Amino acid sequence: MTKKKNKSLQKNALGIASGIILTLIILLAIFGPFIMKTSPTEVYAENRLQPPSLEHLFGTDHFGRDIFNRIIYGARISLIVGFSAAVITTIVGTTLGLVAGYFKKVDNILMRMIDGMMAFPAILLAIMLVAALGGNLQNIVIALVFAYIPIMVRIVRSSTLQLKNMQYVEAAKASGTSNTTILFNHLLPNAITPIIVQGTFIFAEAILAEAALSFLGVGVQPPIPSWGSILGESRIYLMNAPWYSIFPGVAIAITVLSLNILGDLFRDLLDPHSLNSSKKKRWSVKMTETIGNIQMKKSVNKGVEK
Amino acid sequence: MLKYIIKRLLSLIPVVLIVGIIVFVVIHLIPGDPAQVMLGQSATDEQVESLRKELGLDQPIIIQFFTWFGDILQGNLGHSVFSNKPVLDLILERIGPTISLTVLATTVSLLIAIPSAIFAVWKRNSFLDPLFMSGTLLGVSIPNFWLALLLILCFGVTFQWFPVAGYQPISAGFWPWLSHLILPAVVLSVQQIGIIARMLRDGMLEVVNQDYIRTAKAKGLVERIVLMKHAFLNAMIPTTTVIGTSIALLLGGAVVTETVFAIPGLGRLIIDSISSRDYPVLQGSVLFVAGVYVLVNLIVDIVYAFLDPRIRYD
Repeated sequence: MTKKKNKSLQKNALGIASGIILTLIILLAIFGPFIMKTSPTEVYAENRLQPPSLEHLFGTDHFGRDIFNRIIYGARISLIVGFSAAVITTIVGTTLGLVAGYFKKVDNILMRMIDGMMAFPAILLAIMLVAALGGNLQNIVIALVFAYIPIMVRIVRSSTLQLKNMQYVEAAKASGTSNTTILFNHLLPNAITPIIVQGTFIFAEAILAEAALSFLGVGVQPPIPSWGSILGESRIYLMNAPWYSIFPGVAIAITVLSLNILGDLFRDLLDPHSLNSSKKKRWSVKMTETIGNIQMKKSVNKGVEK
Repeated sequence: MLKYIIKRLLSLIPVVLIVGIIVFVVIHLIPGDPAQVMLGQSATDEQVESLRKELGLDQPIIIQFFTWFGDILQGNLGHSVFSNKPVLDLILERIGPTISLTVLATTVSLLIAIPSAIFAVWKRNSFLDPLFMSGTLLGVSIPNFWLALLLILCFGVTFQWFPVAGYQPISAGFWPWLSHLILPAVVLSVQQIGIIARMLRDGMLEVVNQDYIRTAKAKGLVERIVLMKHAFLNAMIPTTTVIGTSIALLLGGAVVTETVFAIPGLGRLIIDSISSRDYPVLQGSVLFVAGVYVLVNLIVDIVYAFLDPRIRYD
């Protein structure tokens, strides 16, 4: 028992640390630009590719711009894009998942579409959409929503399928409660844990995907700083100015790691069975779902559709 | 089993149709006249008109879709706007590096993920477990293109052990082939290692608490044999599906990795077709990847049903 306690304490400590780091990054993203003395896009030719120093903590880039400054501004873009994508995916995906799980007719059509969307690796779907729509912030968010919505719909649908046969739902139905009320007042609150956890993971994935898109040059366009576009610009200076490539990547890795740890922690905290093996099972389910596996589909079908 | 396979094959029909519709719709989302966009501003009206005819853009949209989709089902993915080569030929030219990369990355991930997962389960009550968990989380959190840059900096520039760009076919010799692919394969495998190792560990831990494991231990089997023979083999079954689908997923990840390491593979073809606005190539190669993904999924499903009879008696 003590060992288990130790473990969960360790995990909580890690989670709290991630929470603090994430809060700091968000605060920096919000207030940092007000404190910075220089603009992130103005060119200072005389400061070109300076190594890190007290004056320029992370060094300067090929236009003499302060990299720390650009990472702070970039945090705004990367976090806003990731967060919007995660929130929209969660809201739309949850609604679609509830409807699909509850109404059998909609389910057939909707899930075939979801299957089709899942035939594309998420990043490829996003690349294709951004290439077609054009790489402004709004379109990047749209592309990411399309890329990650199938996972969300599947997860919410499978919870709904399990919940809708519960007696309290039948009771609500029998007493004449409307479908909307059943969906949002009875089913949704009981399916909220996987939704929050998955939403956190999608936030993390969306930050990575935005960075990849911008790095490849189809996402956020320079001179606008996003973590990915800074890295994309830094590539050709890798040998002369390694600091230019290192720091933006550290920012991405720390943020995404914190979000992933937090997602893990949320599951432990919100799930009453978290200390027994069901937790481990859930983790694998997340992993498989994330890479679009059929495995979970099967176990869900087995458990529910019988 | 045959019934299961037939059922599974039939379920592919709507998926293939939807995949076609998605790619078709996305390409038609491009604002403006595709013919004009492809040819650029300098093209004459006649050129635009003839390309429109060639692409069938003067037809109603539904007809366009079915003509196009029918061609694709017969293996005709259209022609590149620039080189005028069939898209399928372009894809086949580029598939070699991507296959090499995918196979190598999968090998690397399995070689690292399986032993470390077994080790983590074996030492599950020591400090190694949290270390392992943080490691797997780190693996899925590091941006792969950034890792690529770091590896280039470390092993390509500082130590100069490996070339940092380009590709040599295996016919040019084993070492030239391997040395060009080792860094990209490591980059691609890091995320897979995170996913596979965690999946395997969780699977094994679940099995470890089962009654038959207790029985095995009670009858005096050594921990090593219990873990390897009972826990590992059982946990491997669900893990095969992850390995299968992740091979398909690597094809997507290759887009980024191939760009960083300048490998002339399928991923590069996709990025190049975007920057040169060669939409038939983009359409064709994305469809190709989706097709491979669906096919691998199918094979994995059948293998899974073969390994685990509970699935096929559903």
